[in-house]
Amino acid sequence: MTLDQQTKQHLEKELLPFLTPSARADVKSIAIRYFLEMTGSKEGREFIAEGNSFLPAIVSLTSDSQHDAAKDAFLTLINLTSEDTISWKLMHKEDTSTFGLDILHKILKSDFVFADEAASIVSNITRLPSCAKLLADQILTENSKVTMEKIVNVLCQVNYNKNANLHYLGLILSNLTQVPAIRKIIMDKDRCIVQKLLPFTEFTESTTRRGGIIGTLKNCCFEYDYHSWLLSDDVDILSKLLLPLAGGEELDEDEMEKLPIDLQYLPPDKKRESDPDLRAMLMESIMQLCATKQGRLYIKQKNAYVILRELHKWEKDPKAKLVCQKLCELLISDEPDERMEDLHKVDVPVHLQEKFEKLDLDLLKDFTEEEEKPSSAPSQ
Amino acid sequence: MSKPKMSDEERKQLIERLAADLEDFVAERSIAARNKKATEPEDNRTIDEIVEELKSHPAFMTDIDWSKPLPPEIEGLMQLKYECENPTARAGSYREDGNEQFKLKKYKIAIDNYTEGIKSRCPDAELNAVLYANRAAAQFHLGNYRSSFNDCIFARKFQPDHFKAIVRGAHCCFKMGKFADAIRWCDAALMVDPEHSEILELRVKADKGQRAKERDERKQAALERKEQEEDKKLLDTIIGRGIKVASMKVPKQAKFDPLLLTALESHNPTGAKVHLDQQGTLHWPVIFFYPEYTETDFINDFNEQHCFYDHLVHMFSQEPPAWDVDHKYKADDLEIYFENNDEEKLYKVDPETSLLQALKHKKYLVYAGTPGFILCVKGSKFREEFLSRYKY
Repeated sequence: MTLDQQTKQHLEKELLPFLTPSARADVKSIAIRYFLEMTGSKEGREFIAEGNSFLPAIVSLTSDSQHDAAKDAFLTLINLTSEDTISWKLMHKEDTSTFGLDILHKILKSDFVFADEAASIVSNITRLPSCAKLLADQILTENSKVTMEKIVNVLCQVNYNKNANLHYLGLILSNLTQVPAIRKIIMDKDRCIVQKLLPFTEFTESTTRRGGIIGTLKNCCFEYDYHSWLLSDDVDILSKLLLPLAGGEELDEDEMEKLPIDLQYLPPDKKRESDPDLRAMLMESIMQLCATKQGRLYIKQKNAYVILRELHKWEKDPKAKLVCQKLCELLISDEPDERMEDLHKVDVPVHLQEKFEKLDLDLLKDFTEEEEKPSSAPSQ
Repeated sequence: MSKPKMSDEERKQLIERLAADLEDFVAERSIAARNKKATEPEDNRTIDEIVEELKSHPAFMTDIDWSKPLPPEIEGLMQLKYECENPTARAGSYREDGNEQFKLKKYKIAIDNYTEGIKSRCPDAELNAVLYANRAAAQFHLGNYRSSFNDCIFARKFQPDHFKAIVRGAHCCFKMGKFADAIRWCDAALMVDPEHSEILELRVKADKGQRAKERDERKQAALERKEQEEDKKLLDTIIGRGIKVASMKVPKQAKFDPLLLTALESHNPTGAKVHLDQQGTLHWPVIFFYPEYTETDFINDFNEQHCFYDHLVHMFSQEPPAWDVDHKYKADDLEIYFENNDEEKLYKVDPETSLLQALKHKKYLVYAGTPGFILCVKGSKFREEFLSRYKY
């Protein structure tokens, strides 16, 4: 499809007037369907996003009383927001700037029919950190109709809405927790919010939901001031980060007794997290928690190394194996000198940083080669 | 962050949510209860029955089906219209009395009062909720956690966001060791008051309890797996030796049949059971029969490598047994036989052979996990008679 200037003008003149809830039902359906089809190509998406007329018109149709038209409007917007530039525009233009918040509010209603479509849109929009920040600011305003606690509560109820599975709400939460102020809200020590997410690190029904929640936990681990609370009995995040990394290998009684209770006596058919990216994220979270001396000593004392040692033997994915190796080394190495105990505060000179990165790349290359020729003879 | 006040619409939504949660909870529990009926005897009415009964409660009736006979409560209510006593006033006064008794810590009397109040079947949902919640409190103080918990459910039926009932229910679940339920009720309480410190604490405790319980279950399962593995190893060893165990003839090719193990369950007096030692040697409990005097000897631990003669020397070299009145039973004078029950035939065993060799005999069958052998005195009169009975 080529769109010359003439066609564009034609579309604007002929179809735009029908992209509004008050238009005649039959023509409206045809008009929105036409736009939905256009979003199949990049050129089409860019054309729709040009100017200031189409986007608000399509947004207005999402609340159309006519089911099919509203659905097509949502689908159109899913495709459109797959372009970061369009997401950005949607969040920044005044007449559509609250659209994200509006549909997020609707997603939290248990009878909303298009909750999954809307959740895809919001997760697309919040992928860009700047847009996530904008939406976060809207949520954080006083008396906002959307609260973080509500988002978490809905996410933690598996059959909340019979019309939708809401798995994408997990990604939304993960995107929003890129914003430090949001993380602090869900880690409210006087409430029970982040704790409810923990059981979902083993949620097998959906990789999307599980991944979103693991991403959220990883983001939370960037708040060093919260580490001691996260590791305390009030939350006990370590158990739930380690559990998906554990397999069914038999461990010595001594090794077992030192582990957190959730990891003791796992059955031989215990499955590990199936997605290598999520395994890496879980390990990166633990790595973050090792940044403070107190956290690191606690994780060592809880014998996390044993779980990672077994994982290291089993891990095939080069990237995950690299993370695993680094974490293992961190856990068995001696404690650093006194003034370097808080790893996140240590200044690493640029030349060393470069050296470390090169070492990582070399290792990654080794692991990749190993993975590619699994049956070849072991290297000397 | 400021705590925004709950709007009417939000409150309505919360109540709906809590009511739906409770419905789910009750439904799940009644399915679970039906699946394992009669294990918990304390309250013999099922939740289903109580809920059914509640449906005809005046507080829940929206309209009256005039084509059917009226439920007695409604009839009673209609009559009361013309009488002076009003059920709400009656229920209210019982609540007062109950509260008085409760303050005096006379929980049993308080319970009776609240029960009377509940029986008034007044149409005021809130009052009913209070009656149930208060009775739940009294039951709780008496340690009747299950009854207390049931009352909490009913209090919530009348008023889904009745906070005290939710908190009480959470405590009851915890006391009964139902930690997963306790967490669920804590979460319901936190929907009403997210910063309730007592509930937040209870939730942490319940979560810990639940995880410890799950660990113990896994530990138990691991133990059972280990036992099963050992049993399998034992069976494999026995089968590998070419020893036949009664009722084990069929599955020569079979992998693992737990039924086989019962064939090894011993019925001998000490309960000794065949076992495998570190060196891979089998040790059997063995029984010796002396048909002449209808006496027996029981050997707890007969190493399969040892021969019969060694045992006989050990048993008959010193003081003769009390029943051996003629002092005939000497190690060198004894003959050993075993019987194959199917054929009703006797087979002779050389005392110099090991137990293993005897058991490997193609006619030997181990019964009840305990090999048995028959002993007679060489050349005795009884021996002649005995052997002739078997046409030996």
